[in-house]
Amino acid sequence: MAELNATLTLSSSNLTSSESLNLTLVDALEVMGPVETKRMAIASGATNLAATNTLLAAASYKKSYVLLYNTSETVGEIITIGTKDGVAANILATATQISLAGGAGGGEWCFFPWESDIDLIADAVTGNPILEIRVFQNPV
Amino acid sequence: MADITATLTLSSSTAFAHQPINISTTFTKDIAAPYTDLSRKLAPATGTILTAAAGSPITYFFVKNPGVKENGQDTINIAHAIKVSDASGSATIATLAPGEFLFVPMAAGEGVEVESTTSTLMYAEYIYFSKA
Repeated sequence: MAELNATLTLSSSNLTSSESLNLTLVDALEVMGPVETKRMAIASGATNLAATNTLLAAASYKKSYVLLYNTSETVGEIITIGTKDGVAANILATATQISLAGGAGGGEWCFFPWESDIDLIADAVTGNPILEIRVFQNPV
Repeated sequence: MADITATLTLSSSTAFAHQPINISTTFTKDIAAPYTDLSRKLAPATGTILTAAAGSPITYFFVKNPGVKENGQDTINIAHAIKVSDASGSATIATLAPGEFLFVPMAAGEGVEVESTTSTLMYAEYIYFSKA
């Protein structure tokens, strides 16, 4: 059994006038089987997101740990992440859940366990930002 | 204006044969009220809202299932999970087994709710910051 060590650090020196924040979480996650790293251009002009902007198809994975990273250095190139909703073409109009902005030196990222029970789909507010996707499958 | 720096490092010496990996990503963003320090709350079976959907800005959210039951006992039973969803409870973001966590910038107007997935109620740990 392989292990993926995830360390999350949240820090701030100016949250309050009297305290600084330095939170570190260390977690050993069991992984096994497929590990995938890929980059996708997320077209803002896509009209059928399920057809063109599916990041991860549920049928191809078991439960996995997913890291999504908006590599764009343009602040306005926001990538929104949602889930497939039946046969609707543009599901993010009603199902946007995560919003990753671009930014100087690289944009925002998110990390979460994905049950692999529904396809993950993306859209972009403008431009064609590149989304980096890393998937580590859990043995469960 | 306050800011927060979030860094995630993923490393493994066993995921690949003889090829250790070490991936690190970070960002620093301005934040504004409302925000919290690290908090812990019981996740009822019917769900409890951490941030309401109405008027919510983009919110950086950390949620962890620490593996602590209502009675204070620890558990590693993967069935003792916490579902994290939008505030309506209809769109699941992730299901966290004991020890698992997420960090996501939640889209504006979504809110966040946590609920225990079984009759064994679990505590959820969380911290959030509103994007300025």
